[in-house]
Amino acid sequence: MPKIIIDAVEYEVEAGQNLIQAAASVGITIPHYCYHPGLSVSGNCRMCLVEVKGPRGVMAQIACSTPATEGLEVMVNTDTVKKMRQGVMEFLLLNHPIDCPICDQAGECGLQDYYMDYGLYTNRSTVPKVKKNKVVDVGPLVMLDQERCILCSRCVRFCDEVTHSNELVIAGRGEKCRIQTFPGKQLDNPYSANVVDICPVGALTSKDFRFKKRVWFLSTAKSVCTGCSKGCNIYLDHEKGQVYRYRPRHNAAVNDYWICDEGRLSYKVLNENCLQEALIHGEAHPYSTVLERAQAAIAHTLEKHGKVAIGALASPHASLEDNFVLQDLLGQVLGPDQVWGPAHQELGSSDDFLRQADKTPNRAGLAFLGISTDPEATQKQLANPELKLLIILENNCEEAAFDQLLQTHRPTLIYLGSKQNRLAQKADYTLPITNHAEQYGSYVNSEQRLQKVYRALLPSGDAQPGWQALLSLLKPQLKATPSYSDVEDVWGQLREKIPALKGLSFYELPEDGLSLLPTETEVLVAEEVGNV
Amino acid sequence: MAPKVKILSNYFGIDQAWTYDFYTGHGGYETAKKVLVEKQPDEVTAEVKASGLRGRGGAGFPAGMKWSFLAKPEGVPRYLTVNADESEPGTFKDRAILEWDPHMLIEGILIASYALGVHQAFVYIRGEFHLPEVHLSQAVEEAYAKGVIGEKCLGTDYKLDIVVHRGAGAYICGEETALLESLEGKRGYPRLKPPFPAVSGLFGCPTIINNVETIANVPWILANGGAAYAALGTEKSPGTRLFSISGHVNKPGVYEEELGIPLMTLINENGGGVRGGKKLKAVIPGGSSTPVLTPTECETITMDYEALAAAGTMFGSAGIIVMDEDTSMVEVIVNLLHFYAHESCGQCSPCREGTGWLHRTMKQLLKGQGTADDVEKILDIANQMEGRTVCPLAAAATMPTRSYLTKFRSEFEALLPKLAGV
Ligand SMILES: Cc1cc2nc3c(=O)[nH]c(=O)nc-3n(C[C@H](O)[C@H](O)[C@H](O)COP(=O)(O)O)c2cc1C
Ligand code: SF4
Ligand code: SF4
Ligand code: SF4
Ligand code: FES
Repeated sequence: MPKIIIDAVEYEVEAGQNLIQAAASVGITIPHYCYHPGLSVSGNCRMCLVEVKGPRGVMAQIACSTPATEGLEVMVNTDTVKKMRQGVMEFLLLNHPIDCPICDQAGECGLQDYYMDYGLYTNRSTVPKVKKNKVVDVGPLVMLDQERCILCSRCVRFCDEVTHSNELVIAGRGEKCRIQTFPGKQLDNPYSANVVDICPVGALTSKDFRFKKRVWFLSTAKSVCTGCSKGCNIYLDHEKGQVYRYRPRHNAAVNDYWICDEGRLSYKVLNENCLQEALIHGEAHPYSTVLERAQAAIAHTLEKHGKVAIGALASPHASLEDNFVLQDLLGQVLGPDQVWGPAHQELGSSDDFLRQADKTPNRAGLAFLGISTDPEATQKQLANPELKLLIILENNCEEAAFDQLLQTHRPTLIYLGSKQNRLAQKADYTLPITNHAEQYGSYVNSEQRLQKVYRALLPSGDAQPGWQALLSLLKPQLKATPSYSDVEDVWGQLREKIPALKGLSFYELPEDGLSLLPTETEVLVAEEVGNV
Repeated sequence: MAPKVKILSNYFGIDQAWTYDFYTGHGGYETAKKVLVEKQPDEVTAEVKASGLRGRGGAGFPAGMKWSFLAKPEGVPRYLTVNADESEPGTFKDRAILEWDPHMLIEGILIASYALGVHQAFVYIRGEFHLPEVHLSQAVEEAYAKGVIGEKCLGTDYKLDIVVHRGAGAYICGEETALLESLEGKRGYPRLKPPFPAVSGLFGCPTIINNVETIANVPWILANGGAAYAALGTEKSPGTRLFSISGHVNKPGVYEEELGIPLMTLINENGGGVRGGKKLKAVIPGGSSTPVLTPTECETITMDYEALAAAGTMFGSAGIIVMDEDTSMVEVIVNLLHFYAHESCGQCSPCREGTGWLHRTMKQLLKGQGTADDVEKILDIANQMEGRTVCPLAAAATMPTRSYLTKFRSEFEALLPKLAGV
């Protein structure tokens, strides 16, 4: 590991980094605009200028293109460096409209932030500003204000290097330079809105988010997108029980710095049609009433038809915890063979970057618990006329075939879900449960990575976490009541029953998740054992 | 006095001098033939090194040394790119070579490519150069047809292709790495260095970029020996150079002279003196990007790298612009700043915003609408730009600006309202 000297202090840093990264790794921020860790180095903004000692004396050099190699000696805080930053800020703001009061970026703007530290605070310009186009509709999700743009080229590099779709270009020269799409092109690739996140200023804004909320009112929770089985890591921004946006959260093993547009907009379901009350045949009733009636139905069926007359559908939408508790409790009551996987696939568009065809976030979690994810097996179970009562966990299935299956011999339906959907309306008894923004929980993505979400919102209405609702529902049938009071207690059981999770707790699960795939050594050991 | 040596301009102005027949009729391609048959590539480079030839594009980097830096990894092609973008205001000497003696350039390319182990050379020619491009392209066609270049250059086993590529009208594409980007079909943005083109240039392959005039000297050097070349000019500035003389002189034009010639000799003898018998006011010695000289400085200065550096200016492209006593220095710098603001590629914040700011502030000053602290402010803006950018274009705008402001300050101040209390 190379040793470098920053402001007379020696640090040991990881090899192969540039100076911005190396300094950041030891807690020193070097201001920058154009550099982005997910893109090539362009070196155009000149904000990251620092002083570097070289064979020919001290030289101004940009940190983003300076490799942090052994013996590098830099000054990042001298008067010269500060003056250079002040100079760059002055140039960047020279023709900037400074319309912060109506700008959506205000509060998370690179210009505002560095201006506080390196601003000149007086305007030396006596000439009019350069005028450009302030409202450019570049694509279905993105608006461009050319005047706010600092021409850092991040957005252009994103479209060239990440999506390889090349929609954006800098046209013109000198101070007439501006971002635009190529003639006849729209910024409409499936990842287009990422440019909004990486734009350091208010030039590219999200049509979906703009003018909706001042960012300083928003609170943020670390979460995972549930739009497909990729499980891209996100920040979930919300205020007063409403979710306003998803933003990508870096995870080198999953989504890097990006998310797809479809997933980004999937936050909307969290604000719509939340199931708040317990229902009987679609009509709201007090929670306790519905619970008692559902419990009675279970007791009745057990008594009259025995264990095989009851089944339960686990859910690829629900968390690992919910599915585990479903499996665990029903296993105790009915035996292990009565918990089945989803009856249908939920497929959509995919590509070789992030988007997965499987539009459920936790199908791999079911497989991990040993629940079959073969739809045909489940369909066979559902077609069995002996089935008298079915407990369904979180299910968005819109397939007519599914309805039909349930119609042919109509078992009693107990549904635990978070949405006002068809099933909630149709079921005999419906109990509201929390969605992934309202609970702590974990999901296993298509690459066998266990990832957790934090609770961002308070549950709406009477909703309870799925595992909790299941516990209440099945309590009368349990010999010994498990003492789950929070997700950590559920994990207590999880780690006892699932060897792969031995020694782990929910809170210790790393922020960027945990791969459930065997490590290289484990594979080797397994091979050895197999060979013996 | 020793007879005047002409290396480059022997056939300028002669009808049909650009044809193959004319060229070979005057001994053309004899040197290349000899070199390809008799010399090892490294011997060629050594000869160019010995000549002390310095790059004629602007920076004056020794050509032989540049060639010796070319990386030669196995299995990777190398390229030679000739910079014929000539767009520096006040410079029109490459044009003369391209127009009158393109075969001399082709012979230079052939010898240089052979020395470098290059089999593919490019000439990036300024888009506005219509006639020069026609003559050069005809010459390249002739060279193919006559077997000078192609699969078997001059009957040897050496293979060389030459592509002539026209620019689309951007000064910045004369900067060598912007040129490479443009040649690759991209926007003409100068690249960050390192890596240098000699290691990773065109399409990521090792590339040598030389100016037209630099390469055009090569046949003579190989014909007469590096020592003969080094004997011309001064010790640190060997050889001859094509001086473009323009502005308020009686005989503007391209003149070949040994380096070290006094500037006033060039102006008075070659250029025929200041037009209309007017007094001299200022001279730009090496293209618009070089700091201006006052008449007093002009009196003693000689045209070589050392003397010009000592005077705080540069040899640049040897484009001499002469200005007489009626010239407004404010108008001159407004004009130049307009050029740099227009030609900044717009990549770096200080250059993109700074060149425009300087231009518009200066224009306002010219109109008598400046503010009292404008001169100081402009100098400070210039300091904030210089040395902080990807390429030297920003400095090409600020260095002259500073020189006009300091050497002719009173002319600027006369247009400004007085500072309170002064
Ligand atoms: C803004 C700018 C414009 C330039 N324009 C030219 C040009 O038109 N022709 C040229 O030969 N060199 C030009 N140069 C210099 C080239 O970058 C390069 O140094 C030169 O072509 C190298 O050739 P030489 O070593 O033979 O001089 C320019 C440099 C800059 C910074
Ligand atoms: S981009 Fe930043 S500085 Fe510009 S108006 Fe928006 S918030 Fe203000
Ligand atoms: S729009 Fe934003 S990301 Fe794109 S170049 Fe301008 S400032 Fe940078
Ligand atoms: S200095 Fe000017 S011309 Fe050169 S790269 Fe930067 S912006 Fe472009
Ligand atoms: S971050 Fe280094 S130049 Fe922009």
